[in-house]
Order: sequence, then C-alpha cells, then structure tokens
Amino acid sequence: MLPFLLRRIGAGIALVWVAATLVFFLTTLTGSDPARRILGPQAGPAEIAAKTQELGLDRPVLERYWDWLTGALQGDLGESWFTNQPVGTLVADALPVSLSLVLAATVLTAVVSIVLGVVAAVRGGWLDSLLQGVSIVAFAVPNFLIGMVLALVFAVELGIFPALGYTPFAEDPGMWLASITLPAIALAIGAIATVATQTRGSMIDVLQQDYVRTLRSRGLPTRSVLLKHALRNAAPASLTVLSLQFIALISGAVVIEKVFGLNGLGERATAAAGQGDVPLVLGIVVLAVVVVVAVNLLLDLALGWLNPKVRLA
Amino acid sequence: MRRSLVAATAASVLLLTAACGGSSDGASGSGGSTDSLTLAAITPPTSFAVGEMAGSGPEDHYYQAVYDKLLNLDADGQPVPNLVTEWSYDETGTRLSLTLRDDVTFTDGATFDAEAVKANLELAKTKTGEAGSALRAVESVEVVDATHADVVLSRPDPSLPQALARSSGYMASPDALGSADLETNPVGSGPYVLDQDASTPGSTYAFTRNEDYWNAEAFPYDSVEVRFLDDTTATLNGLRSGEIDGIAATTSDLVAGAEQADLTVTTYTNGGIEGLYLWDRAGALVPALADVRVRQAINHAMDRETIVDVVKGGLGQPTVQMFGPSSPAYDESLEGTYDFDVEKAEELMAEAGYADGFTMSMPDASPVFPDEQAALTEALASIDITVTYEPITGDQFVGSIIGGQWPANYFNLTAGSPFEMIGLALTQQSPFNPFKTSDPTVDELIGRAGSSTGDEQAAALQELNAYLVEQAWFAPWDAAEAGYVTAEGIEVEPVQGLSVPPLANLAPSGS
Repeated sequence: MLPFLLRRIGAGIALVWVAATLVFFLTTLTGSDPARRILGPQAGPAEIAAKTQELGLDRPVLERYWDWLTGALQGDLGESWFTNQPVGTLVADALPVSLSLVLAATVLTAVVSIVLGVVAAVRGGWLDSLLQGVSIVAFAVPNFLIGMVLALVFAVELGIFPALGYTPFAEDPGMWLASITLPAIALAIGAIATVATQTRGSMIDVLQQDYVRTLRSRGLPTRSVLLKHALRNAAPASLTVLSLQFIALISGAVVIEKVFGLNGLGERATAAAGQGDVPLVLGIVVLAVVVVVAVNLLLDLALGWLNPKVRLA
Repeated sequence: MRRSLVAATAASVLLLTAACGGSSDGASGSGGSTDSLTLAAITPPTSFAVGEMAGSGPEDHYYQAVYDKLLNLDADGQPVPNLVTEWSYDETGTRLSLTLRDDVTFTDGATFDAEAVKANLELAKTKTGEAGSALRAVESVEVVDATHADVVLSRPDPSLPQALARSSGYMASPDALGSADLETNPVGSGPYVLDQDASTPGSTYAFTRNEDYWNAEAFPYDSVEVRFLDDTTATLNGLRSGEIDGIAATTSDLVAGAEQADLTVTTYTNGGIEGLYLWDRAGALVPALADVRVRQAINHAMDRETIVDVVKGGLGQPTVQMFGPSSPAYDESLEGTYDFDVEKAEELMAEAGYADGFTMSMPDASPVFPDEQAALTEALASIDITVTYEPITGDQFVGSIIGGQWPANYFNLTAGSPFEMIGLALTQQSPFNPFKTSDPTVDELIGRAGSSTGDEQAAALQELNAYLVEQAWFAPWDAAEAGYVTAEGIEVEPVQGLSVPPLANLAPSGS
C-alpha cells in the first residue's frame, strides 16, 4: 500500500506544479496592463511606470515565475493587486463557502443517488422507468436554472430559506445549513441523476451474478445480500463516477455561487480573472488543483480498500 | 428496507425544518424598522486609504459609512455644509477659505481640525484616482487656526467645492494616514465604524454606529451592512426576499427586472454623458472628421430617443450637450440643434465631399456594450460610414483612447461639474482630448468661466456649451441615468449628478 500511496502523492504534486506553471505563463500572454487598470484612466506615464515597478512587472518573466514559485512553496501566495490583501487570506475566506457547498452537494449526491439507484435496480417496473425519465431531465436542465427556480420558490415566495449569502458554521450551524441547502440541491441534481443511473446499472449487473443467486439460495436475508454483498461490489463504479462528479461540482459551483450570492472561490475566481488580478487567480488555481488532487487520492485509497487488485495497478 | 428509507426521509425533513426555523430570522428585511440596513454594491471596495478609494461609483456606500466628507451635496447636486460650515473664494479665485466644525473627532481619538484637512488633501492630491485628479489645481493647504484652513490653488478652479463633496473630500484620521493598514482598516469620523469581526473582506462589510458621531440623527439605521453582489438574479432575489434593502443599479437588466418585480426604482441623472465621442477633430487619423459638416452629419444621424428607449431601457435623457440637465452650463434651447434627420445628414456629407461615406476603425465594445455598439453601427451606416471594430481587452480600452488610437468611439464620461468636464475633455492638457484639439474660442470661454462667478460664470459656460454643440465636438446620445432600487419599506432621495446616493438619504418609508 505504501509505494502505491507515495506514487499517487508524487503524481499529485507534479500535477499542481504543472497546472500553476501553465496558468502563470498563460497570464503573461494576455498583454494586459495591470498598472493602468489599477491606477485608472487619469494616471500619467510616470505613475504607471512606478506602479509597474512596484508590482515587479518590469522584471523578466522567468525571474517573476521563480519568485512566485519559491514564495508559494513557503506558503506565501503574494498579495492581490487590486485589494492589497494577502491572497492566502482571500482564498482562505472563500474556501469554507465553496467547500461547504461542494461537500454538501456531494453527500447529498452520494446518499440520494445510491438509495435511488438501489431501489430502481431492485424494484424495477414503473419506479425504474420513472427514475430513468427523471434522470434524463435532471441531467439536461442546467443547474443554474434549477438554482434560480429554487431561489424564487423557496426563498422569495415562501421565505423558507435565505435567497443569498453564506453563514459560517461556527456562527450559527442552523443558518449555515439553511444558507447552503438550496445551492447544494441545485448543484447536486445533475450529479444525482448521473450517479443514480450508474448505481442502478452496476447493481443490476451484480444482482445477475451467480454468487448472488448462491447467497440467496443459502437463505441469507435480502438486506444482507443487497447491502453487504451486492452494493459493495457495485460501489467502485459508483464511487469513480461520484469522484468525477465532485470535480464537476467544483466548477459547477462557480455559477451556483453567483445565483445565490455566495462569495466563494468561484465568485472570487471570476472577479479576479475579469480584473486581471493574476496573484489571486494563481492562488485559486493552486488551491483548486490541490483539492482535486486530494479527492482523487482519497478515491484511489477508497478503491484500493474496496478492491485490492487496484493497488497493483 | 422500506421502513428505514421512510425513517431517513423523515429525519432529513426534520433537519431541514429545523434549519429553516433558524433562517426565517435572518431572512427578514428591515422593512420600516431602523435596526439595520443592508445594501448591495456590484464591486467590493478596492481600498479604504485616502486618495485610493475608487471614485464616486458603486463602491461609495462602503466609504460613506466610515468617512465624513468636507461638504455634502443637496438633491440638485449643489454643495452644502458638512465638516466644512462655510467656504468662499478670494477675488482671484485661487484661494478657497474653509471654516470647519469644532466638535468632530476621529474614531481613534484624533481631533478633526485644519491640520487634519491639510494632511488629507495634500495626501489625496498626490494620488491618481478621481480624488487626486480633482485636486490637481491645489498647490497647498494653509492652516490659519484650528477651525480655519485656506486651500491655495495654482489656477482658479471653481469646481473645487464639488470635488470636496465627492471622493476628494473624505477625511481620515491624520494619525492613520499613510499607514498601509488604512487600506483595509478605515479610521474616519463617519456615522459608522467597520466591524471587522462581522465582516468578510471582499464579500460583506458590517458597520455599527459610531457612538460619538456629531450628526447621528441624520442616519436612522443602527447598523449597516454592505455586501458585494454582482449577479442580477441574486440581487433581485435578495431585494424581493427583503435580504437586500437597496442597490444602485448600473445595468438596465437590473432596473427592468426590478420594475417587473414591483420593486421601487428611483431614477436620477448620474453625471455621465454617453454617446459617440469624436476625438479626431483635427483629422489626423480620419481626415473627414476635421470637417465640421461631417461631425454635424453624424449628430443628425443619431436617433437619440429610440436609442434611449430601446438600448438604455428608458434610462437616460436624450441630449446633444456635454453638460447634464442639472449643470449651470446646460441650455434647454440647444436640444433642437440636431434632430434625427438622415436626409439632412446625407446632404451635409455630400456638401463636405463624402457623399459615398468613409471608413474608420473603433475599439470593439460589443463584449460589454453589445446593444450600444449595434445602435452606433446602424446610425453611422445610415450615412455610409463603415466602422471596422478592432478587438481590445477591457483594461486597455481607456488607455488606448487616451493614447490617441481611435478617431472616435462609444464612451461614457462622468463629471461632477462643468469644470470637471472641461478638465477631462476640453483643454489641451485634458486626458480625453487625445488629439489635443485646440480652438481659440473654446480656450477664451474656458478662461472667462474660470475667472468669473455667479451669473457671469453661468453665461460663459452656456456660451461654451453652445459653441461645442455647434462645432459638433462630440455626438452625445443622452445624459445617463441610474436607478436606485429599494425594497419595500425603504425610501431614497437621490442626488442629481451623483451615481450613488449618500447613506443619509436612505430612510424607512414615511419617516
């Protein structure tokens, strides 16, 4: 298990480095003029030159890259060009918002889709057809549209949930849950459709295996056959799809955060990219890649635990 | 199996209901009460440091809460007392004497006095934003005594009181000036103080009452929260659910959505003049533009009423003038100068020798202003002027105009006073006179307006305005309007020519 783990961690670190490097050099190709943008239209050439020097943009690209990389390795991601706040703080403020949203959506996806998938596979009939029909619709409707409808109905009309904003868990757990419920549902619906369909398919496959018939013929209770044996063998496929969905949820959160006025990483990323705030964009990219790599690593470990054959791959 | 499913479902429903129980408190709006006011702004504040605060734009609510300005503006946009109680120019117009309040302290305990004014203004004028640019004529500030200061100018600048009622007039504690901490941690003498613990930088800013404030009764709300929201749907949802009490709407989308949702929209001119700016009056890039008949033809080709109705969603007052309706330079009688008349425009083009039109290049503004650009293209095409649009990034847009890259383009220039507009666009040194157009009549009238006062000054400004319209230096469409959207139970009194109303102008309905 240890060599497997080390290999995966090594690959993850390399991926973070490659992604950050790519983004760094891409941002130098935009040809935009951050000093002009920060100082405004009425700044003179001398002021622009001074600001350019202050930002270090008059230095060679490779030198800037090296400074940024060595800083980042020591945990210093620099300062936002526009708000002068440390990138680390800005990202750390936004991370809990996005993470709450994405984790809640993932848990919701996992629970609901496995229940729906198993029920559809076991019971079949009209319930199965219904699930498949609803899945197609849920998959096709964009999540921001679902979010807008949810906000309109449950926040604006009924006033059950807040329409916007995020309450930190530490401040008020009840409000925290309320503030992420609608966004998490909006975000999760597409993923639930995908993972439920996958779970249903692999459950049906597993339930047709000979060993299931053998277990049943030996008189094991249905619950044990389903949950202990069939689901465990159907799980790896669902887990892989779930982890891919998790990554899709991170990008889907960008739009959902906007609809619900949650100032998470997605909101920050779009604002920073629009302004050309390179240090902040880089900070967010690094963090997002780290999260994706970490999730993949956890998935590999989970799959390894579920299926020892994977550890050799 | 089925039973456990039912149990799980019931548990989740309970959990959600519990959560909702908590949410109903938070979702309740201020509606009529004076406990709290929650406003939204489409940008987060860039910096709270003097001279670095973004101009009188959407960010203003953040700054209004923590800082006092030397002067305020009344509903017509005219300066009225605030920290400064009286002000007057000497006869040369180069010395502005200020009398200050003597009962104001900053939240760090420092006293507001003439020294504080000197420190703030002299720092702000070194900066490049709106605050600094409006103080270009300031040479120094002389302290007469604790409550009297003289602003010494290098040339007459009648727009200075206007500037002191805008971003140039924000006063921070002299002890905090120059420290980097001020960028994120404001120390002012304003009606509220920033509650750092309850705020999330870049997202929500919570303000609580400044207990020692000298003018507390002008601010009815006990606490104010300003949150950054840049999504129209989220903003409308927040306004409808009562989580947001007000926002200065900068897009016609938001205004249209608010009207559909039966929210209150209060419209007012925000000081911007929008339209086609004809920079190349000397014909350096496009010789045709040097001919006044061509510029007049372009003015006749603009269907201003339709553009305002269709493109701006009714938000704007059609005009041919570069000075807004609340400006002393404005002259109602000039509005008939360029009626929409394509035939007349074609005649003028033919007289100028351009019956077949010509081609010019402009920056592509369609990513941000698609409808405006479409209207412009159509108007120019009607007199056979073909425009080739060249791609440009948002941050290069303004720089390229100042650098003289375009003969003309769609633009919106905002000025708080006629003298600010003159400084921005009409002199040889003006950033928005990229081809350094000079005209002895314009220079003479600017000089006359700058050195006179009262009626004489207004007459000179109107003469200048009439001359610019006749010479068709620009092809404006409209004096831009903004709409302030308020939720139920909130009232706002806008200030003409100011893009975001002051905090003191927001109050519970009927109060």
